[in-house]
Amino acid sequence: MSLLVQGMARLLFLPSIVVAIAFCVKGSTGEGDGFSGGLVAGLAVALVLLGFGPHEARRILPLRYAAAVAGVGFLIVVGTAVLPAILGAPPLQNRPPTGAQAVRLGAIGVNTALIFNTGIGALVAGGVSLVLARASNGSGRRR
Amino acid sequence: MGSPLPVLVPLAVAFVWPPLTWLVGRAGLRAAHLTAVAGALLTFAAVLWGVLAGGGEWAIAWVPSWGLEARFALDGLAALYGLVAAGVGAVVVIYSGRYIEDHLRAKGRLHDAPRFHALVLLFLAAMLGLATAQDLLLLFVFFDLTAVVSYLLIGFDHDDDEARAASLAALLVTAGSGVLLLAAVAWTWLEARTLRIADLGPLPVGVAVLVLVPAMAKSAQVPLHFWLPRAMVAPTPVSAFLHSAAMVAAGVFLVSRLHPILPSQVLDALVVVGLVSILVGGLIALSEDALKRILAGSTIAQYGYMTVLLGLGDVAGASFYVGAHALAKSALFLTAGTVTEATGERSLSAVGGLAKRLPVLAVASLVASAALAGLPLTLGFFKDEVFFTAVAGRGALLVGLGLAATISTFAYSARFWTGIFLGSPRHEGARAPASLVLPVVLLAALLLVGGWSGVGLRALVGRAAGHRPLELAYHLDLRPANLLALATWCGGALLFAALPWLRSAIARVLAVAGRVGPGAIFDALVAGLERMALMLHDVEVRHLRPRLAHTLIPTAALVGLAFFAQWKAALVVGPVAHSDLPLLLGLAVASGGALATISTASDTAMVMALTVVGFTLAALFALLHAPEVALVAALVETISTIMLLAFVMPLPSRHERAAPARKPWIVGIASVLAAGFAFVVTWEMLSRPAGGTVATRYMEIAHGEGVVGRILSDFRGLDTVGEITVIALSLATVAVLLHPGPVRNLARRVGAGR
Repeated sequence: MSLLVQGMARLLFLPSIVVAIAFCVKGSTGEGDGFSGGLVAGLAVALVLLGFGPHEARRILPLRYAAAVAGVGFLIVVGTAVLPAILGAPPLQNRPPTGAQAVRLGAIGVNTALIFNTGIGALVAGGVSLVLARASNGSGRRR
Repeated sequence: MGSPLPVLVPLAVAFVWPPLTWLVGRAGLRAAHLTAVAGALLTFAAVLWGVLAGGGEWAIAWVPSWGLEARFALDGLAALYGLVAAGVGAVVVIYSGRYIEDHLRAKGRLHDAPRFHALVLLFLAAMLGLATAQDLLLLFVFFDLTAVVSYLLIGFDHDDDEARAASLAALLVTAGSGVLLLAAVAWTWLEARTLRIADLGPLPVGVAVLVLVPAMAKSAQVPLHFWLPRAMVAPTPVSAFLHSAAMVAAGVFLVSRLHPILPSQVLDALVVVGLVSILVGGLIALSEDALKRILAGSTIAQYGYMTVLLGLGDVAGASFYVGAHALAKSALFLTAGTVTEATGERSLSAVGGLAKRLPVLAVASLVASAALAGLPLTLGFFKDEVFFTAVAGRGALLVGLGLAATISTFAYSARFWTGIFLGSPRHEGARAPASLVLPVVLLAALLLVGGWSGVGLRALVGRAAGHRPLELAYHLDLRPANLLALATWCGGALLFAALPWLRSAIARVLAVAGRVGPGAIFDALVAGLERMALMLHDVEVRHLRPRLAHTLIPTAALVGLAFFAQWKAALVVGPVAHSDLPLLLGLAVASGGALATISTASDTAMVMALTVVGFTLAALFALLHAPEVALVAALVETISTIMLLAFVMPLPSRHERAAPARKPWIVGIASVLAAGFAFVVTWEMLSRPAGGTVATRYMEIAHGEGVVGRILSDFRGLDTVGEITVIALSLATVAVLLHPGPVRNLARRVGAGR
């Protein structure tokens, strides 16, 4: 069982992160958004934690930065809300604005909502990883 | 006022260096100290250059829609306070290299030294920002920044309960009263629609009071003075900087900056506050035994002088006094630190006769004490001359009180110096490294140079006051100031001689005052707040079930009101086609899962049953042609299953837990009621005609094709910010609760308190 999960974790971790990033980035053109992206990344971390246990997982992944990632994500989200307000626009004002054509970068439509999505993704991914890593420290004591 | 560089360069240097020092500290402790010294000296040089370049002004529009701007200017007042803070700061940073190393090594946390230097520099930066700010809101920001940094510095020994309590008291008094300043800022903006100090007319009395209370709290004036003696648990360099030249000076600075627009009634109040502070501080300084607490009492009294001067309208005198006092008092604080380092003793009664062992320190400290006492040949003589000149024409009462004040100053200065350096030698092995003596010598030399008719500082004060240059010189005639000075020296000598008999009486008076005074009231308030928090915690946490009911029942009532008040449609059962069969099957599975959750034997099985419900619903969204919603639902379901299992599995099994006593029929009735209510509300909503809302229209113009993405980041983005804040808070809370550490200790303490 453990061997199987470990193999899966090894195989799936990087692809999951790629999918997570794709969800974050694609939010403005297709399916997905920062929240889903963050959850996928959190699931990838959960898989590693399940397969390798908290100590080994800490060695494989930089889990000690999870809180920092979440904090930065939160600051980005709040920043995108506050910055336009400081500059005299309504909070969360999109550039280019809603309804106008987004700037195209290949298949990705770029506007400031992308930054917002990235922040949400980082917050969710970091927060979920943090809580899972800490929870896995305590569990397994009884079983 | 032209070029922006003279004000920008000092500010930039001051604010760049704290993080730089901290970063360098990762490479090496000695390097961090050298960086800090360089930073402090550079800041001083930059301010000096700015002053010599004639000052400057710089403004940037900031929230232009509210008419706010950030405006800094290096004017006369800013130059004086900036130079004093940067100068004393540089000396203190030089001193604290050796001192803080010894101090932290004894505690086994030497690695914290760079953080200390960075914080001291950050404090210096905050003082510079405060001194140069030309806008009420900026004043408030930097005023509070000094309070926050001082909290970190006073509580730097965070392993010490007393230090933590003292830093909290300082923060509550200085930053807590700072809220009044914010209120004053808001009030001013509502009335004047501008916060630029130069554009403001006379302030209303209410606003002036809101400004003065935090200013007086910062300058440790009665009745908000009690935080300062407590703050003496801070490392000595902190006291030498914050409690002589910087933190306490911020309050007097605030009054000086706003002096032209303060109404005369509140200025009279300043005179009273200042006189009472002189009295209280003098008594503390005359009776305390701990070296630094003597100096703290003296600081309260000396800032009382400045408050009186400001109340009498003598901004130039007060500014001069700030500079002269800062040099003398920081030298004395550093003396106290060096003496403690050399002998290991902290109180006056435990040291003595050190003049032989530490002759250089004794002479330098004598100069500083003489300056504090107002003896000629030192800069301190002029500070007393300024004070006497200000009170001389104001009636016999004020002259008498002023004389009493200077007499007590003379007496405690003499007590401090003779107590340390004279008497029978007790510490044969006492020695102090040059790095802990030279800074004191430097300050003493400055005091002596200033004693040469107050050069330098006088020119600065002339610029600071703008209109009236100070007359400082030695006059060998019988002018009132000279007579009062003579009376001070005679009276001070007499008081000092009589002190052995008076001290116990003063200590008794202060002990009584300490039991009923503002300090005791503050302690009672804090204790009451703590009790209230514990009580609330008990109500919130002890019984989870009623607690949840208290939240959920009013929520349900509100939801019900909202729905039934605008009941639109009759409950409709739509047509059911053959193609809906998978949907119905899915709903049946979900219902089965829901029923299973209430009848399972173990927690794990319950979680799994819940998961069945969740995943079935996610599949149903996919059937309903909403793949994005299905995706999010599946992801959320997976994560929450993993988390629930992680939390539930370590719990003891149900047999091992004491089952709470509950009446089955109450639970049954409540469940049926709740489920029926939710069912009707949902049915009513689904019966409404679809489409045609603002949301539908918005979906068409928003970026992207994914419904979830468009809703989350575009249509209701601001709601998302709020929700994500809640998510961040709850994740942080859970993470902290899972972390073995202080919070668990707190929980244990709370548990023990029941």
